[in-house]
Amino acid sequence: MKFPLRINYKERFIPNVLITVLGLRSIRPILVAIDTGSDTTILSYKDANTLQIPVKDMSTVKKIYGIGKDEVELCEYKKGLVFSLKDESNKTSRIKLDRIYISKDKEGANITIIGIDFLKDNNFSLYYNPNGQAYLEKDDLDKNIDQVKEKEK
Amino acid sequence: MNIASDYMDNEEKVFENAQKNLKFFDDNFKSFESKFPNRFVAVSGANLVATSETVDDILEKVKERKIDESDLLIEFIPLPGSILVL
Repeated sequence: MKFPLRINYKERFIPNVLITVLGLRSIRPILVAIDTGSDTTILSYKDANTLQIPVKDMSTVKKIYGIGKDEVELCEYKKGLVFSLKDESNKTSRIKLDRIYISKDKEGANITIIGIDFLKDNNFSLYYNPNGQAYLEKDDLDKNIDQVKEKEK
Repeated sequence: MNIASDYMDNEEKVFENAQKNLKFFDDNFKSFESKFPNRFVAVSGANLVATSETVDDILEKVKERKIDESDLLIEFIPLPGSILVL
């Protein structure tokens, strides 16, 4: 099962994909970047707010460091989010995240990133050719995917 | 119709509208880059509905203007030629 990724991200060759995210109170579309340089999947402050998650009231649980000296504070959201992705046949697959980190950083580009943890936990492989195509791929028989759908039946 | 199918229909509608917004964003990115560098833009109904320098302000503008948030796309416009590091 392949999930096509976009290559053009604001004229940069960063793999990205439009997904819908189901929160406690709403469904929102979010453009996410795939970042194998990040250990962790991180929801941006902007996207968390559109999902009506009260980031301002949440405590910092972790700090992350990038290539510069600046650190970014993260809070932890444990009420569950569902990421929905479209595969190459336009079928929707849903993946529940029981816990996700949210960036408290209001500055900068406010990009939600899918990190290595998401790829690893859900057995995704990443194919990326900046001059061609990019996609996430997973075994059709993987039991983790569509777990939400199964619960709904 | 049960809750699950209602949810799936709604999710499908949100995705389709968001795709249109994303296409509008992509098609107009060069123009946004020259007009709104270092700002956030909000796209809804395949139209530009708000811009701002800060996240909090653009979220506030969207609420004040009672813009449908279900398919809203808010994206940061980097400076032309800048390097984007995640």
